[in-house]
Amino acid sequence: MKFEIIIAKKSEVLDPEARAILGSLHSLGYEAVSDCLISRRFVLDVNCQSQEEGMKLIHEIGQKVLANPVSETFEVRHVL
Amino acid sequence: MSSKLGLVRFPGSNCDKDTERALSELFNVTVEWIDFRETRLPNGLCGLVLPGGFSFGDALRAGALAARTKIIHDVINKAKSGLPVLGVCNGFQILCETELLPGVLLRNKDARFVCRHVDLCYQNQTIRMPIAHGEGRYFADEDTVKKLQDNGEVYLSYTQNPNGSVADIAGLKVGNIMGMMPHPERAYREDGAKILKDFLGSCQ
Repeated sequence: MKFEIIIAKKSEVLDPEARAILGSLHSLGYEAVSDCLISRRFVLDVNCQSQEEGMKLIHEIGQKVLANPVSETFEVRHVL
Repeated sequence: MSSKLGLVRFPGSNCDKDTERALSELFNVTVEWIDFRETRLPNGLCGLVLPGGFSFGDALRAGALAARTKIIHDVINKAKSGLPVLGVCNGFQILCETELLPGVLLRNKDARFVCRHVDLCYQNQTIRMPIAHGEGRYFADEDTVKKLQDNGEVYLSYTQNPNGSVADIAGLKVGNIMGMMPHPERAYREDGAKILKDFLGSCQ
């Protein structure tokens, strides 16, 4: 069963990469773009009996490994 | 100091030999190398160093994967029992990822790797040490930073912030755990010696 976990910087944490990309877009003339947020998406294929069991496992992996709670948030979704 | 100082090497550690040289030349300290594949620290260590460089390609976040190895689990246990630990650069990033030190090290504010000498505030003096990092922007929430400041746990701060670190924080000393972005082992014949001496002073 596949699950995706999307990890993003907390809104109060500066993301210099996103800022650089936004600056580049503006310099290319895309002034209509007012903000840029970057997140990382991981797709994990899990051996599990139920969607609930898989979601629980991925949440645990998000909390313990993939995201740093000081600067990041994450959300988990089942991938069809 | 009667016993040995441990030094953990990860794939990508590259300040390990510099650290050994600094410690042996200045203080005649013997280092015991510890491979990241070990599951337990050797007995009888008086202190432990996590050296600078990289670890596991710094995949995910700098120090994140190293912080989740079995050897680091044992480091956490021993550190909580009082073993003095020094983390330099990637070692500092690992210590934050383990939560032995609060906060996290993020990509530098201007997204550039910075490699030069900087002036640092250390015990009301200005000292000079080199930095070399792309992810050295210390970040923690306001309450955590205030607590660090109130408790006198900000061990080093930048006089001219090179990376956007909150409150100019360059290094922390929380109980028996020291972590810093500047490299004392690369300046061990100069001001770096003061830092290494401080750390060894806690290793008995």
